[in-house]
Amino acid sequence: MTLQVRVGVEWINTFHNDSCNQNNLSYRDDHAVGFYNEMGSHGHSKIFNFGNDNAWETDFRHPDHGGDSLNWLDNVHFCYYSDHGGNWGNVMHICFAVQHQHCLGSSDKWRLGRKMLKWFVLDCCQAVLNTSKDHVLAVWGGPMQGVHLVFGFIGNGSDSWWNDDLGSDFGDDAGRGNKLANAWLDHAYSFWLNDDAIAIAAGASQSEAINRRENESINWRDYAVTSTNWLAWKWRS
Amino acid sequence: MPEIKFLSTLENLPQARTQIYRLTPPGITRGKLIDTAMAFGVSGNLGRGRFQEDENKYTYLEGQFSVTVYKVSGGLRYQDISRWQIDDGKSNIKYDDKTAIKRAQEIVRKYKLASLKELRVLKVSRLHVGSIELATRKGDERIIDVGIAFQRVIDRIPVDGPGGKIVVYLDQQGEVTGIDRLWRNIKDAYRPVTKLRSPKLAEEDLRRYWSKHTSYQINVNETRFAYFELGWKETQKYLQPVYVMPMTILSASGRSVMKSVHVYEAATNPVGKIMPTPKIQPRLPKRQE
Repeated sequence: MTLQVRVGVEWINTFHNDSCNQNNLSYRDDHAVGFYNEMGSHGHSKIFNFGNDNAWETDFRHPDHGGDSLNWLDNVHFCYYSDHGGNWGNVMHICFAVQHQHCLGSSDKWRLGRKMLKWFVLDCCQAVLNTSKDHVLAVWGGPMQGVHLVFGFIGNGSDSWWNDDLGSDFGDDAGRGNKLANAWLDHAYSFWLNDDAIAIAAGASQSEAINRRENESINWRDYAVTSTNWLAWKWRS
Repeated sequence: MPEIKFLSTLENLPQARTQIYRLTPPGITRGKLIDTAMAFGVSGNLGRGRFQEDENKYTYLEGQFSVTVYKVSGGLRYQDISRWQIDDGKSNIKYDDKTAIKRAQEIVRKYKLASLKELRVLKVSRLHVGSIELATRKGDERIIDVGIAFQRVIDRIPVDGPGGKIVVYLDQQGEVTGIDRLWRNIKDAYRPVTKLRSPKLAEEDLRRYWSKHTSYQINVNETRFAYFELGWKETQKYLQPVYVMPMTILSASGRSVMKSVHVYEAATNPVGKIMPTPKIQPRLPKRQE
């Protein structure tokens, strides 16, 4: 038996010939909606599924910076974003197809976990560029403000039919109550696509952050991160 | 129209005698799963273990051991759940790739996963753990497992794609904590490859496919000649030679990138088409403010 969690996903395959334009992608819906549906099949609550033009940057930006995250990203326990991403100046950026209000979301304007969010998947490129302690801390020390775990890639990820089950496989493990960090590394790391995966946990103490990294499942939903004093991460490369 | 750059090309036709092979359907049953589990030292006594089944796979769980077989591919995963990818709080692996490969080869031999003549090392990966205190920036990093991926070789040609791989995971003591094996059995040679297509045709196919789809720049990193094997959940009847072209898709600014891969059948007499047709993106109802 697992605790029920609220799930939201956003994804973009198709861009337009305007200022937000990026190269089109093919499998982001497979990833995000695959995750969404698998979580639903395990009895979890499907709250929002916004694709293409319906995915908005304001859904991720905190109201302190004029965004609406407390009604979307931070109004679910588990959020899965799948699209283009980039990391420069120690800030994670994610891309949107429409300018609502910006084409790019920036992690320096996120307050992850201020309300409800526990787990955030960035199924896109460059959650981090490398695994030096200073870089991981510089990118994620600020935005993680109550969120338990962030999942992503070191450098670039892939958009390919070779790994289009990534979201559904991770959703199956997560929805069953399996250990989240291990499940992400298992499905996101790829020997054949050269995708390197990382999971980053927060905690008030070192032991708490490590415990979350090693053991947290969705059943830890109500075990709050009272203060992000430590980060503990795990990656395969 | 995207700008497509071939950073490295295959200039000449591969000099290789290849075949199109027919593959044996895996015929997975619960009984076969138990036999497989027992080969890993699990008792297979149903009083001690239990089955899980879903659309894609059967899993047998006994104590800390998990053995999974995939229904349509026959792919196998064995894990000691108490140790696989788990940090014991002290491990810090120092042994080098050569030592890891030698140990992994012993595991392949012990469990009769494949003949060592039929594989080569694809990659040695390491699972790292780290932590840092925000206030002091003090932290630590360790390596807690090594994953050695072997790639199948047929007719001296590697097997590319998600399949045709064995991965052995080792802990600090060099003991196995997990094994992945996706390796479809060959039934017979279905037909010889009469002639290989030029790699230039593969490049043209890539241009045609991706020009409809993307608008900026694509860098094609290399062209590999290989046999091709599909993933865990996919049915595959034939094994045939292909050109595999990993690539990077760049945005206008070059800051946002994504990797992908293009595959083109190399035989002039191929069986079917491997690359999926481009997806038709559905129109979604407009979201209300």
